[in-house]
Amino acid sequence: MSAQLDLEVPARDDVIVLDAEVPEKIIWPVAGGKGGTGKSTLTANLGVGLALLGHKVILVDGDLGGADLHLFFDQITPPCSLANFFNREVSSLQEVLVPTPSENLKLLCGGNEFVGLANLAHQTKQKFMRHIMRLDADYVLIDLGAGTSFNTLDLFALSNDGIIVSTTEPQSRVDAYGFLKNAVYRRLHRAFGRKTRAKMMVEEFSRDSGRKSGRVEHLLESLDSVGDSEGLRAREVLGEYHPQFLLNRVRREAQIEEGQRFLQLVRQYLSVDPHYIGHVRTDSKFLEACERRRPLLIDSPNAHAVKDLCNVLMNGLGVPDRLRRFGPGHCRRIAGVARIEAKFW
Amino acid sequence: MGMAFCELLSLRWFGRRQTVDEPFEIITEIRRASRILIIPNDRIGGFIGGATVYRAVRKSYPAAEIMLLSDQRHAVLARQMSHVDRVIAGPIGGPVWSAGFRELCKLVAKTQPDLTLCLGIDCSSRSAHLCQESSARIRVGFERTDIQAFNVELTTRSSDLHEEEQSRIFLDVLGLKCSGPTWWTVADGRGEQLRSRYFGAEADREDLIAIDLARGAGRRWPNKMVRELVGRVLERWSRVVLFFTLAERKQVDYLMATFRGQALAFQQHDLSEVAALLAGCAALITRNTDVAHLAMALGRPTVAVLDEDPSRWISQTCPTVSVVCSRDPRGSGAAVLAQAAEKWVDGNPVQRGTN
Repeated sequence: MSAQLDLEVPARDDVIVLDAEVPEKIIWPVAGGKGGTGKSTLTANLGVGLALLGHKVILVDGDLGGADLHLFFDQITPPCSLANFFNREVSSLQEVLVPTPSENLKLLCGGNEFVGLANLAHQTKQKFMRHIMRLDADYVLIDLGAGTSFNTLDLFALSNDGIIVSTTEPQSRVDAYGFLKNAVYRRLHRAFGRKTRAKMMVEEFSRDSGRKSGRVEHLLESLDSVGDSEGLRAREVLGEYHPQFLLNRVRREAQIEEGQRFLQLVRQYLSVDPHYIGHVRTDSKFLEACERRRPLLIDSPNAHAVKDLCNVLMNGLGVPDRLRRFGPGHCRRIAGVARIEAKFW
Repeated sequence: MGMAFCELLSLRWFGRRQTVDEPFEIITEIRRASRILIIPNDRIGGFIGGATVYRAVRKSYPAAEIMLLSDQRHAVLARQMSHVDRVIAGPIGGPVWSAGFRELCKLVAKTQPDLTLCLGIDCSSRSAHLCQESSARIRVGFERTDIQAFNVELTTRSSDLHEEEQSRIFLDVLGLKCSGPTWWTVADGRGEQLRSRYFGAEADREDLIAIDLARGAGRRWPNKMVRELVGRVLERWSRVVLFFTLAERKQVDYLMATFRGQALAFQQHDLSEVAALLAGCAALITRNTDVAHLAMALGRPTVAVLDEDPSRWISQTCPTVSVVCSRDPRGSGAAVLAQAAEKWVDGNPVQRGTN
């Protein structure tokens, strides 16, 4: 009886195999803590802006139970949504993407008709998150709902650079701070294994000092006393975390300075380093665009809020024009591209 | 002309002073080389055509350290050459008096090769200068009149030889065995992901035609002609893939606005990305030899519009290229090019290499 040898076929030396680099997918969850700060509006418009810059974009409506992103694209009843996915009618999120008039932009609509979507079971949520990671695009923007539920926090944790949207009202900033605090504690909580001393310390801290004005730095010092690796691990987790802050509905210069002071407080109390990516001024044209169920960039490309959005995209978020038409200093030219694009919407 | 003169002057100013070596046996030294630096022709065609040389050198010197000098634009491709141990990338195309070029010269000098091979009959004086800077004991190159960079010079009867011919001559003279042509292919995984992301998961190769808008050394195609060409191509194929350089970005903008949804545009800065995308197209129409060489290497049917004798740029043995010669780019006519592409794609299912 002879045994068949399994020989590895050597690579041919007369063939050069080229391997392309696929641009890394960037995921930006958009949250804010408070409702009505303009998360969905800004998510829709940032998505359109990215598409105008030549990138492939997928917008995910992660506001489970309160989905409305599709309304910005004139989709009253989308042909498919997350409901199809959670009902297991499709096996991947790619199959429920809804095209938009822009070839670079696709939409993953929330399924409001699916009862109980806001209270996903843990396993279902994990599955949803895994499938989001498998979506293939240059940028994936996830519009999250208000509040600090675990679903929202965990979806926000899909990225180290999630976007926090706040308006100029103190109530909004307080809720944004609350959201960030919850996000930080959630991260620290998940950084350590079950029933470890470090995890218990994080839980205890969040219950006691965290409720008052305790600083995360004190928690880190306590973790240092547990052991070298715990303290280091916690600092590593927070060191990688750079949430991005976007100020919406700005009316005065002084409000931008207040926003910057807010970020200083976040750095001081939460030991994370948020980035300020810009502001968007109040503009009545937003409301008109919403009523017409179109993004502002397409509805009124000459609006001054469009200039702010373009500035946020190219300077704040550092998104390059894939077609190299203009650099960050000429971001207003996106309006010209938007005007041409608008003819096809 | 003025620029070339300034360059030569700078090279002579910055160049190493010639030293007189003790006499040595050339063939023995060539055989004994343990550190070999290869300087391919500046242009992408020379770089791709030189693959046969890199392979032959690796086969003849299995234990030697083989270094490849590459322009920054081609560095992505260079790093994927399995026959090469080390890639030295720098601004070969930059001004010779620039800090970047001077830095590259120092880097090359530090490599201390035993043998430097400067490929290309018409390689630039910068490449020859870099060969000189390497200070290798043996510096081999084709004969030049502007710089005395080589101590072993090859002379040919004609300067209009294709890269393949030049490589063969090079290897013959050095006594290195040429082991047949080199094939190029694109790896499936990431290439497919790239095509799926930008062309769409359902995109069929037969639906896409690539057009390279880069003007190369000649005049650019006028907007009207390109618009007509794209329009005619779209009568047969569903979408057009436009490759461009920064110089053509306004033209690309115009075409994207005109053929929105049917035209996809990609800049040529990453040649491995260009290769992956080309692999998903039925054919390429081009008047610039850079992307044409890549398409030919990948076995994609190519319609090349050239305003000079094509034998210098297109190998006579390449079965996948159709050459349309025209001194005036406008004289070719969009209809002629579109018809050539259609005929070529229909009659050319050939693909070289393996997938």
